[in-house]
Amino acid sequence: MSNSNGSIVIAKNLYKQYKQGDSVVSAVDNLSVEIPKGKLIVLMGHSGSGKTTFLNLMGALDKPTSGNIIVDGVNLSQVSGRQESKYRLSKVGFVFQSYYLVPGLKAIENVTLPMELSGLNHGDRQVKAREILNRVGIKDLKQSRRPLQLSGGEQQRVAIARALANAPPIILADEPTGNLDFKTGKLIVKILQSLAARDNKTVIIATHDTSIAKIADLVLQMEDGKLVIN
Amino acid sequence: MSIIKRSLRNVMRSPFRSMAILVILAMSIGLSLTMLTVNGASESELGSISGLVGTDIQVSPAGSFGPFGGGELDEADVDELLALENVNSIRKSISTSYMGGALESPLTGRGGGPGGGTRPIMAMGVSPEMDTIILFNGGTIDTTEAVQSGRYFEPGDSNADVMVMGDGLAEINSLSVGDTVDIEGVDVQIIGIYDTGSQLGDNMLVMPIETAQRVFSVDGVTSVIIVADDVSNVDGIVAGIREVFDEDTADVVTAEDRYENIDESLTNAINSSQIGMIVSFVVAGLIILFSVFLMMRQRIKEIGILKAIGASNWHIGLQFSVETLLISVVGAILGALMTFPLAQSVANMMTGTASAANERGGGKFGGGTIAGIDVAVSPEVFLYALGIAIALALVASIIPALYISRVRPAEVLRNE
Repeated sequence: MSNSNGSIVIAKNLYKQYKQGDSVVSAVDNLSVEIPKGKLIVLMGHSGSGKTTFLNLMGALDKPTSGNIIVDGVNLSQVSGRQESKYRLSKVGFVFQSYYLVPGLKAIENVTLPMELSGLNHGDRQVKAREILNRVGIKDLKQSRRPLQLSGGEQQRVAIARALANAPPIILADEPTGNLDFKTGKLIVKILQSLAARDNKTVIIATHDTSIAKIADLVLQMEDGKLVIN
Repeated sequence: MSIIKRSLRNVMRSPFRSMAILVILAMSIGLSLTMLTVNGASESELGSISGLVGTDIQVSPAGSFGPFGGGELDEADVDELLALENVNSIRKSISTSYMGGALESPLTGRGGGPGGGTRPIMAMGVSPEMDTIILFNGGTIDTTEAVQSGRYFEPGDSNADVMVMGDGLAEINSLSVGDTVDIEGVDVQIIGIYDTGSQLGDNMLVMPIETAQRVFSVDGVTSVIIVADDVSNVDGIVAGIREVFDEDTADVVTAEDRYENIDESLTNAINSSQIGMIVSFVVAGLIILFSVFLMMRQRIKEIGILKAIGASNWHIGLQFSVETLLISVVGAILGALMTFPLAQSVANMMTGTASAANERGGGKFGGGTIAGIDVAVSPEVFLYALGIAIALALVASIIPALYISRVRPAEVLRNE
């Protein structure tokens, strides 16, 4: 559910501060923004600019120090515990730079895991997971391999498939091409781009790769926790 | 994929670590179950011994040990004891050693010259109405159970030329029920053959007391069991016995005296096994807590990933608890299996007997001064093991419950 003007993410006076010794560092500093639904959004900025922190706040992986952030109608400043888990399970899919697949599970099991958590039965999980894996280019035997038996690009595709498992409206990708070579990175970006274009998903990519920014529907430039260009 | 299958795989992800934890855990659970088993056996043995500590008072010639030394008690003096107050009955017996050539002993031992000499054969004379023969070392033969062929004495056998014989002695001399043996010039017929399971008991022959006195030319008796009408009267009867036999003439031992050593060692075994049980259980608990803590620390990133994809604290906690339960159950089963070979050795160690069960020869030849416990490990030990495993897993699940809720995925997945 998005608001009336089509924004899926609404952040208002958002702060995220960390203690560093005696001083306090603002990773996100009074950020207010509205992100439209079904677009490919790129969060640009140097290391330490606050883009990952903002991504984490949108994914409820972290709590804001103050301010409000509403994602698909859920006020993340007010959810905790089971609601927070439910939000992550159904509303967002994460794609990390280091893939973060569960090492003991096969590729297909990594994809079925979020479905299992949301209560889908075994048969449906298998069918759906194979379908998604096929779509991202992980086919046949590779679906039964463990993460370490796959290349970096393949692992990232499995991570994208896992992010899509419960059909969330938002995909949050943190430097998804950071560990990949140029060619593989391009393929991954293409998959993410198609999710926004074909499936009307909101894909938010945090990156400092300017080539990704060129294909974005909207670029948000961050610096010192603030939004400098919208 | 079921949570159990996933847990099994996670356990197998670090086979060496899992194996090391399993071995240590199995050892401590095994020790805990062994102590539990020994404790149960000791308590049951103590209970049965308490039942035996009753009204028996043994009187024997001063300084004697069965057939060795001390001479005999005058039978007329012994009969005087029957007149003592609160005495229910008197059972007289004689013990002697037979060195004649008519029988060969199955035992060989020191002092017999080259090749090992033959040991003397122990001969006893008992009242035919006594069902239980009390040996000089305090052991007993329950004749109703021990006689394997033929029969035991009947009251009419008094002074008859009959005997019962241990199966070891009968076998080596190729004798069977109905055969007659010339002992000290008297043809004595074998009417029964018994099996005690002990070398001492099976190398014996037993005659009615009057026959034995006649055949072995023994005047008097070598042992008297006086039965008091009540435990509370034992001390009074002992005082009465002392008026008939002074300390230079006879040794007087009450049942309580005889079982004192056993009682002490069994009480020690119970106390030690209780302490051992608690210590090994605590050690098992610490091992599982430590290993779960280690497992959580090593897999903190995995916890972060699971949280990021929407797993709740409960889901993750359940996953780790099932893994812990699996390790605990396997450890407990291995521990329970270890109990079978361990329990008897530990019991022997605790009571200070090298091989109590062998010496005592099982149920038919038991009691007395040998302080041993026959430890039978029952299949119930697996139920206890399961109980321990579940208890350990429950205790250990406290860590995931506390730890997982504190993990913030943004923190643990930061900086790669």
